[in-house]
Amino acid sequence: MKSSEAILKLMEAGFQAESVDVNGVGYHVRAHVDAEQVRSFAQWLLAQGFFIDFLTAVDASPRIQMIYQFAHYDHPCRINARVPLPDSGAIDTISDIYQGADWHERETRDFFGVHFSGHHNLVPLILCDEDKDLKPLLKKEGDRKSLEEIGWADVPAAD
Amino acid sequence: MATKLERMAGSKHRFLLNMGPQHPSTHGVLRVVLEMDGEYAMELDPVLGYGHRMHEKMAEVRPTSGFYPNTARMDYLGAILFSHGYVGLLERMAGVEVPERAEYIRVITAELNRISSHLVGIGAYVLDLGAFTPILYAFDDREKILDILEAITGSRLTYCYFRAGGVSRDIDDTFIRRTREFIDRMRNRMPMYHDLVTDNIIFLKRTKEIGLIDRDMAIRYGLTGPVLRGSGIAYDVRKSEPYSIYDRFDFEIPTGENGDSFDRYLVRMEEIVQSLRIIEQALDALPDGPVMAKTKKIKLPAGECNYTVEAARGSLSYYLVGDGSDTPYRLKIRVPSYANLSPLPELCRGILLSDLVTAMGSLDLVIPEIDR
Repeated sequence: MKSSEAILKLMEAGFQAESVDVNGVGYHVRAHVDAEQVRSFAQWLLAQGFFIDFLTAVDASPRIQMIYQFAHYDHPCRINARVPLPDSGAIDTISDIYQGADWHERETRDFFGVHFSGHHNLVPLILCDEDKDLKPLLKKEGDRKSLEEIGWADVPAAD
Repeated sequence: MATKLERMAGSKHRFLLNMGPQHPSTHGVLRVVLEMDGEYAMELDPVLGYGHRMHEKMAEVRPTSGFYPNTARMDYLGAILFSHGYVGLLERMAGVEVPERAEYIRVITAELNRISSHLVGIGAYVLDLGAFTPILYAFDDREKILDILEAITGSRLTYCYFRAGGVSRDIDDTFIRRTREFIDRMRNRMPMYHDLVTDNIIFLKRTKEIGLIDRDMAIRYGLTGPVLRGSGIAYDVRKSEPYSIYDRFDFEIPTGENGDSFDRYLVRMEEIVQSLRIIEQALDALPDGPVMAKTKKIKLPAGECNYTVEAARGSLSYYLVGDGSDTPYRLKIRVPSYANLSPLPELCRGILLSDLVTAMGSLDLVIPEIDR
């Protein structure tokens, strides 16, 4: 699937997507997905044959941003989605849709304390038991930057 | 005939077995908890993190140049390939133009490193299966690469040779002569490897039909690299999203047919041949000129950037969020072995312990890369 085709199909499926300069940011399609949509987004990607590249988080104010990246084996089409984490600190798991997300989600729980609702085994993966609540990649107060400061303020609000 | 002990245990004699953290076939500090039924592994639970050093946090507390040595210490067998991704990311973000000669040198050294990584992968794999001789031959060939790279980079394993804007030192005629000699040598050695390993009946019996991976499983787990290509899917970042100057070279993506352990081994063997082709073309076309761009101190603009390269074990992505300073606000490193190990419980459920060693070895894991 070409990236232009992927954008059209994403829009049809009810997600916001735009084309970005691959030489500038290193992926082809930027998707804007709400926290409630992550499962349907993952199901859509799986049906279209995308594989999971990675899943992580970035600590920014006012809230943590979740990053999902997918790519395709047959076509150069890399999709990156940023999802603001709801205030509850929990987001739906996609580990039953993409089994590869299982470890990425456990790692994100280790490093950021994000809770993945419905995950079958959300126990520490990388950190040891004593450090399981260390959340080493959360920024200290004062070091945490706002979305404007890290260049993420221009994203349109989801309708 | 059932022994006295077996009669006592009856039909319920499942037990837990720790494979690792210090086990010769995990090639690193990886522990796999197995629920065994006799010699069969019924459930598997990999335990990670023994070698965790928090590279991603280290990246957040030092200027970008301070992180060059870290990249080599994740995948110690393919260190140059890991550096390639990192410098590529910085160059893309800061808009640095790399001199032509430096790009060629990068491709040559990166492909040499890929060959040396595959040689260890293959040698150690066959050693896991009980054949001691091939690893000695593989290390002999690998030693030639280490010598070539040591002369130019100053180290034998954890290279810190690439810089944002080029490479730290130019190559000389000796490097070119020795690399050409190595290409000839390696091409002559390939039939010997095939005689010794590929056609070996014991090796075939041990690896054929073991650890089958299909497209569906690959997508669900995000498998990449030779592990994926063994299943017949020709996905290689060098071709699908060409970076550096890989679009200028004529090479093929070897793929397997059945997606078993044997095919993954064969793909690595074929990739050595393809890498030799790339190196030869790059040496023929090597231009003159500087090897380092005149760069000011790298400043990362606010915003995000991703850079994906083909490391020895698969797709490697660096994802950086900048805040306008010279220190990354967040650096995520997506390493190939992490995804390639994750299907292990599904891949090996219900197989013999000895076949588990076969299947796990065919994934060519580097544990410090997984733990980061």
